[in-house]
Parts: sequence; structure tokens; C-alpha cells
Amino acid sequence: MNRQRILCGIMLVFALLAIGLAGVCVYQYIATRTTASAMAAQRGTLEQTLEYFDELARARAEGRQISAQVPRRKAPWSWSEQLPVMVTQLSGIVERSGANIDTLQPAPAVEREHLTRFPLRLTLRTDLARLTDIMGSIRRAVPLLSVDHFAIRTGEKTDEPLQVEMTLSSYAIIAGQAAGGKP
Amino acid sequence: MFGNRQAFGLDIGDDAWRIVALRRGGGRYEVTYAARLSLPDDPSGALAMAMREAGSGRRVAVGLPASGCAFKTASLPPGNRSALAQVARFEAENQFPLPLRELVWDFALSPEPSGRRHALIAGARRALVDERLALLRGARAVPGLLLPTPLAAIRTVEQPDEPYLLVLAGSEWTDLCRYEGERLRGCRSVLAGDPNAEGWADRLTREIRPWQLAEGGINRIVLLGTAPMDAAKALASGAGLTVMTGNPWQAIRDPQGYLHELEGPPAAYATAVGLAMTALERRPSLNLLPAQLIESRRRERRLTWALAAWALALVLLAPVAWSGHVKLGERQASLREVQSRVKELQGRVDAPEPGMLAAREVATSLRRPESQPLEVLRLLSMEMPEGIALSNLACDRGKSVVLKGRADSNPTLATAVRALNNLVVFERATLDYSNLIKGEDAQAYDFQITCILPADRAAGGKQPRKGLVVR
Repeated sequence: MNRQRILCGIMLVFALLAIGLAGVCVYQYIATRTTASAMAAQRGTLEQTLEYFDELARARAEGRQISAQVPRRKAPWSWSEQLPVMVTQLSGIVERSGANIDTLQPAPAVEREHLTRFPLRLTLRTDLARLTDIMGSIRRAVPLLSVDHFAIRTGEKTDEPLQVEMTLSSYAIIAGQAAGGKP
Repeated sequence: MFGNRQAFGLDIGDDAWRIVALRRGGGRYEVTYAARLSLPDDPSGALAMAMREAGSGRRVAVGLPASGCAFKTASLPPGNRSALAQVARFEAENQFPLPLRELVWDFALSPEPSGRRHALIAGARRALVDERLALLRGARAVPGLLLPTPLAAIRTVEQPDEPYLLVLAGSEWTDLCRYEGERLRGCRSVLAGDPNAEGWADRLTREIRPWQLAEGGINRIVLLGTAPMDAAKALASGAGLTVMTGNPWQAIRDPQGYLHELEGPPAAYATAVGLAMTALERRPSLNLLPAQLIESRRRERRLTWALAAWALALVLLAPVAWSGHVKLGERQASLREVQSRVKELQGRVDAPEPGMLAAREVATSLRRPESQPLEVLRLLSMEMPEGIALSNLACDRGKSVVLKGRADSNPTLATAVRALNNLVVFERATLDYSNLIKGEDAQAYDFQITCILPADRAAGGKQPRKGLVVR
């Protein structure tokens, strides 16, 4: 009987130890899974941070060029201030190629991440050679001009000029509150 | 029966103790210890010393003298063991001269030729059993089996099918048991004195006579115990029967040469050998150990198995837990490392001037060919097949290019669509319509094709932006 009591005692200790160890194993399994998912999230964040650093480094390296392409303006800077700048630039480009602007129509400015886009719709009539010259000049333009919409229609007769409709945008980084709005 | 493979048989005789240890392997027995001890002054000490000399194993089978036991037989109908056990108990209560509480009893069943079950019910005085158990406890031995000596001794010899008489000779008491094959029919002890003394055979001859005259009779005598060859011959001539002297050591290996040193005739060791053999059986048919002790041992065995199972579980779990601990530690350390690296990097983040990244994004986007209408025009003029005349072109940056014009045939139009689909600046090109126009001398097709441009976030598209956004 005494021996049985000792055996019972030892078995109880072993059983408690085994159950405890099993509990530890379950905890370790859950903790390992949690750690693995946290690790994946942290690695993702690290990757994003490093990518951002690269992007930032490239942006800084191109800083001067970008500053020339997208000028920085002091707030408040609205269409009223931007319009003369843009019209002067565009008139120069179009007139240098020997064409004339028929109509100009500014559209509302759009602001995103401190960058304001000033869209301007214009129409002109010209031939293909001049249009090509104009488009090439727009591509090389400083400050930057983007062609958001571009439409050409041929005339009714073969000797009629091409009817061109474009929406060009110029950009400005506006320190402080962006003005935007209608001109 | 025993967990280990060695078992001791202890025959406490009138003249001496005989101890035999057997081991079974490969279907054969091997003697690992055998000794004859003169009646010891300190029985427990002597047994303990013998067990020490024999080496491993503490479980002992002890013989009970037939003179201290009672044997009854009964023919029982077929049935399950629990029902037969109740009948056997009823028979024991009716047939034993003492109340059952003063006895330790057990029964064994064997088949009869008639299909019924032959029950041998054996009982021993509780005082005798307690005395034997006290002896074993004193020697720190584990009691494995208590068995009347004739039942143990008969195991060592080949049993004839015909009726025979087992004569187990001791120095004072001689046991006479009538067998039919393996079935014991009756047993009694005779105070016949020393078989070496004159007149032993005559006394036995007188005792045997009624057995010979009874129904069925006896055809031969199997002689075991301490009787010498002369006594066997005298018994054979007195009883007029064949007397076979058994040798319990037949078919038992003796690699250590114990048998050469043993005193007395080989048959004197029949009881000890038979006890050891029975003890090596997994389930001896009859055991006069008290039921409480057997139950306690069964419980102990179950506990041992349970303990072993838990220990095994511990052994299996321990390395898993340890390796899990190490791995978890490593992973947590590397997580902390990555977290601190992220924290350090985020602490070093020097926000760029507002709008700088967006401006760079626009500048980069405008460098792509699909953002340049001039490049789109150049590609169209190069790739459009002959027979296509464009009249309208509308290009929305980051969205689509819509072409209108006239084609001389539908195959030409299909070629144009295929060519547009192959241009890298378009994601895909689809024909919106193609209308037949009939002229005076020829026919043509007015068409519209829409080419989808890759999304451009700088132009207001939905392209996901990579990288961390710091505002």
C-alpha cells in the first residue's frame, strides 16, 4: 500500500509535469505564430521604410531639377497669379512654331499633397509639322507642362489645317495653404 | 506472471529448503540458480542471501505442503468463468471442513471429455499462507505465487493419459494424488516417514491399496521427491505397479553447471522446479495468494504502466518544449532587432519639403512614353497599316486614346487593332465600331478604336503607390 502511495505520488508529479509541459508547448506554438506574424508585419514596415528612404534619396538627388520643373510658390498662389506665367510660356511655344492659339480656357486648379495643378484648355489650328514642333516644345518645357487631354481632328478638306484641342497643366508647389479654386 | 524473466521456486521441505531460479527464453527453460539449504535458523535471512546470490529478480513462488491444504473436485456444467466461480464458491463452502474465512482458496478449470468442466478447488489454512508471506516479506521478496507442492511437482514430468498416482515423497509426509491425465481426482498426505528408512514402501503399499481397488483404479505410479531408487523398486514390487521416477531437470539447460553440485536425487527438486515454471507462466491457473494481495499487485502494475506512460510523455514533450523555447527566444530576439531597426529608421526619417515627392512623381510620370502624345503619334504613324486614314485622335493621359478614321477593308482594320494591341504604350485596344460607307467607285469603313492606357496616379488614376507616405 505504501509502495502504491509512492507510485501514485510520483505519477501525479509526472502527470502534472507532462500537463505543464504540454501547456508550455501550446503557449510556445501560439507565441511562435504571433511572433511570426508580427515579424512579417515589421519586415513589411522595414521594407516600406527602406523603399521610402530610397525614394527620398532619389527625390533629393533630383531636387534642383524638380525645383526648376515645378516651381515653389508662396501662399496664397491662385490661378490669377499662375495664369500670366502659364499663358506667357504657352504663347512663346506656340508662336515660336508659327501657329496661333484660338481659345484659352482655364479649368479649376486641383491640389494634392501640397502640389497644385493648374489645367488650361486651349484650341488652335495648325498643320502636322507645326503641331509636332509644339508638342516637342511642350515636352521639353521648363516649368513642366503636362498634356492631360489632346484631340486632333482633320479638316473637311485635305488642305484645311488640323483642329487641335489640348488641356495642358502646369504645376506649382505652394508652401502653406494651397489656394487652388477657379481663376 | 512476472515482469522480469527470472522466477524463483522455493520448496520448504521437511528436511531442507530447495531453491531454483529459472529463466525462459526461446521456448526453453534455463536454470540460473539452484541450491539445497539445510533448514535455516533465520529463514528470511537465508532466503535473502540466496536471492542475492541468484542475482536479479525478487519475485518468489513458494510451495504449500499438501498436508496443510485441502483439495476438492467438482464436475461443473459449461458456462462463463464468473458463473462457474460462483458454483466453485458454493462447492468450496460445502466441501471444505473449515469456514472459508479461515482459508485462502482458489480454483482451476480444465475440460473433461464429456464436455463439462473439471474444477479443482484448493484451499490452504490462512495461518499457513500468512506464515509464508511473512517469510517472503522478511526477505524483502515479492510473493508471486503460492501453490500446493503436488500441483507444482507434477508440472515437471510428462503426464500419462491413463489414471496414475503421483507419490511426492518428503522426509516425514508423503503426498498421494490420483490423476487422470491432467485432472487431479483426489489427494491426501500420509505421515510415512523418511523414504530412506526401512518400511516406507510397505506403509505406502498399504495406503495405495484402496486407490487400486477403487473404480478406475490406477495403472502406474509417478514417484517424485526425496525417495531413493531402492525405495522406488520396493514400492513397485509391493504395489505391483510400474513406478516411474521423474526427473524435473529434463529439457532444462544448465549452462553454469548447478546440477552437478546438487545433493540428493534429481526428483527432490521437482517441487521447486515446478514452482519456478508455474511462476513463469503469464496466468497460472491456480494461485493461493490472498485475493487482496493479487488485486493490490494488479493495481500496482496498472500504476506502473500509467507512470511509464506519463514518463514517456514527459520524455517526448521535454525536447519539444526545449526546442520551442529556444526557437521562440530566437524569433523574439530577431523581432526585437527588426523593431528597433524600424524604430531607428523611422526616427531618422527626415520629411521632405511638402509637395516634393508628388512633384517628382509627376515628373517621372511625364517621362513615360504613354504620357507623351507626341510619342503616341509617332508610334501610331509607324504601326498603322496602309489603308487606314485617321481623322480624329483624342488622348486622355492615364485613361485612353480614341482613334476615329476610315479603313479600306475590315482585314486592314483587324491588322490595325492587332498592331495597336502590340504597342507597349497601350494595355489593350478594342474596336468600338466599324460602319460600311459606300462611295461612288469604292467602299470603305468608318471605325472607332479605343486604346486603354496604363493608369497614372499623377494623372488621377488608381495605381497604388508604393512606399511610406509621410505627411
